[in-house]
Amino acid sequence: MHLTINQVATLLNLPVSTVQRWIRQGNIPVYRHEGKYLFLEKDLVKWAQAQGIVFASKPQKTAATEQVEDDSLVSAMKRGGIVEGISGDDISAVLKALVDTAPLAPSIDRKELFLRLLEREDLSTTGIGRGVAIPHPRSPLPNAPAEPSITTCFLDNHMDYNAIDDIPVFVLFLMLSPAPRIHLRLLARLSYVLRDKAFIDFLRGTPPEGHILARMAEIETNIDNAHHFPKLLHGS
Amino acid sequence: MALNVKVPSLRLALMRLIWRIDERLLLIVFAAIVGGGAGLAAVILNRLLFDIHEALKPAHFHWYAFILPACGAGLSALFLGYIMKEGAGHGVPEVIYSVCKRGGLLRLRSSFSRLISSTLTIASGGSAGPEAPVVMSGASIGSNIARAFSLNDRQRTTMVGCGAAGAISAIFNAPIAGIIFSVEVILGEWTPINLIPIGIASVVGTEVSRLLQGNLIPFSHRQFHASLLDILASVGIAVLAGLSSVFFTRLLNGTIRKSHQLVAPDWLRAALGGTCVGLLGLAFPSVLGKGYDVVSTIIENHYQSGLVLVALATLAKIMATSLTIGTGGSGGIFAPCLVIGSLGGLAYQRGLVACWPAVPWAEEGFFAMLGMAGVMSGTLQAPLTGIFLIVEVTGSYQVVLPLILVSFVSATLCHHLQPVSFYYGELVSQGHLLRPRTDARLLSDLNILELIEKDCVVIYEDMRLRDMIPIIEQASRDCFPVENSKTGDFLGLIHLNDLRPYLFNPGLHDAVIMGEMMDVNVPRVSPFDHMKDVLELMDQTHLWSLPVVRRDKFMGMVSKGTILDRYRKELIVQTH
Repeated sequence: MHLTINQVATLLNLPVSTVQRWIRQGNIPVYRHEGKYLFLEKDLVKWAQAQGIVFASKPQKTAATEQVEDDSLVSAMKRGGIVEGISGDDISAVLKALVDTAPLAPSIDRKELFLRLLEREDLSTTGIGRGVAIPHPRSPLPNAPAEPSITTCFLDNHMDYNAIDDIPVFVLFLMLSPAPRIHLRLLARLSYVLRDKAFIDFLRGTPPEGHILARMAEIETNIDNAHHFPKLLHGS
Repeated sequence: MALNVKVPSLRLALMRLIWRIDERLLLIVFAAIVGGGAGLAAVILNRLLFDIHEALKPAHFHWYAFILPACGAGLSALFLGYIMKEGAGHGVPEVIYSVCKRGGLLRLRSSFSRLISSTLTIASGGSAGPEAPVVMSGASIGSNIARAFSLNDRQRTTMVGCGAAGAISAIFNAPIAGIIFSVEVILGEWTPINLIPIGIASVVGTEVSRLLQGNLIPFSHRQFHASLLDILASVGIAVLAGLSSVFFTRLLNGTIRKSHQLVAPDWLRAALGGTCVGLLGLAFPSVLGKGYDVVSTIIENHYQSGLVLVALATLAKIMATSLTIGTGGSGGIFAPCLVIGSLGGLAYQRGLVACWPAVPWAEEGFFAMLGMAGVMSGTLQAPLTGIFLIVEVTGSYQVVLPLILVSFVSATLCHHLQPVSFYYGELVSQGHLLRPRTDARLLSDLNILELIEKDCVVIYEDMRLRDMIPIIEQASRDCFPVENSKTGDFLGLIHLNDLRPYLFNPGLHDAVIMGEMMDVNVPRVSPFDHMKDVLELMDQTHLWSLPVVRRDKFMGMVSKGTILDRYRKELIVQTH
């Protein structure tokens, strides 16, 4: 396969001017065809190996990290759906009921998820106060789907969840993410939304799914605007 | 479609062939051509020198003969300065400079300019050698052939080496000396890729010279019988040769410096130098010209003068050469080295005989030969060239042991007293001697524009600390260049460390602007600065990255991390 000078520069992670200089100095195998420089990939790979130079070193972005930029809280919540009518006396019972009834992707092992959620609660409570808890596994599940999901769960009975402010918990957000970065991003957005006392009060009324999502979307637009980033980057 | 097919020109077809065949084979083919060209240049110069010298011979016996070197040197300087528009000098440093700094590029006119100018200088009686001009010619032939066929820098440099090797091989009829000189003095590196073409060029150059002027050893002699005592005594000649070399080098450098201060016009300076040489020649005729006849006479034990006269002649030759080359005459120091060495060796032998008349010392030619090797090795600081050249030009392999001894002792002594040889003096002082695979070479190949990193977020001096929070959130670097928001001029740099203590104090978020927090005294570099200076600046200031600024505009950062990465890659590709 033939490569152009720009492709070779990218593959070697060097500026084009360096590759041009290497051609001029005779440091890199190159062919000339009709006045243009052409590289044979086969030769270059052999050459790079002989020299111990890393070829094709561009870090590959995984699908999960690329998606992080544009995935919103609302779409994750849509995927997770809403569960009502859960009740229980202790954390374990509530989580068991939640895991059993939540509309989860078929690839997820529900038993495993339940154990992981308990493990996380043992480390430190996920009851973040104001009656809200956000149970989640400490690290992504082995075969978690590529898209994150947040399942909203309204409890029938307000229960003691060891929350940081000891206020009984009435709503759970079960968060499942494919990667820690995505988890942190969603967590940051969710906690921003939950800082709003009016929103908590709104949730206490157990509103229907459509209303929650609409209100969330509204707040989320504010987040996007607040984090409006000036276009000052050089180059890219 | 068939109508659109262009008939490729011969050149294009040839170029295609060149790009397809194996590099080593290609270099060997070109090396043969270059070696032949260099050999031809050597033969032409030899012929010219001989003919003009013969033509001028009658004039040398008149009282006005001392004017001749002046005319020759003056004309030679005029020719080089006004017609060829090239600097004076013998050419070898120019060739080394082109190898070090310009990938072996030399001008086409250099392939004949020095031949003509040195003919004028030497045939008229100037004390200089024809070798350096031929080296320049050969190198230029190699360079221009390489350029005509679009060879790359490394290949072109090899061709320059081939030219130099062919030239020395042809003019001395000494193929091994040609190879060694090219590798030791001109290229300074020894790789399988460049050695083979150089050998081929050397063979072809020698063969051309043998076909055209016969297979003659320049200084043939009788057998020498050297006893152990003679070999011991050769240490003395080594020291003497080393000291003469240092004296010669210093006098030469001093003459260049002083004469340039005293007389500005090149031609006048050269003419005045030539007059002095002519006057010296009235007293010591042996100092004039390239002086090979003197060497031959000494080697054959026919030189008649006594100790004092020989010693004075040695001194006179050193002065005459310094005056010829130092004032701007055209020619090399190869031949003068041989003459100085042989005269010095003869003087040493005469001294030994005078001190210990009872000891059966070896013949004059033996010590003259050792003297030549010593002065050659010392002045050029190239002991291998000295050894092989003398062995080949005198055909005296049987005395190779004292030759090696003398060459290395003399070269070591010279290196101790005068660390930089005459060839490299100017190059070293200007930082232009960049041998392959050295730190200096790598740093000179890298430049800031190749190393610059542009992934910086630029901020403005009127931004508040609060504005920095989202920028810090997103930026991948912890250094932020600050610009004037109106003119875009670079003002200073802010490091994340400078902000950290205040970042978590919300009271300050609107109270301070970046213009107050930035470091305005941060050292900056220009995109055209030399990497060596940039690294020195980093070491002095203990900074790991510096802003690159051109005409008050920020261009990017240059950092030690990237430099290490590129430096390593550069080292890898240059050493393979």
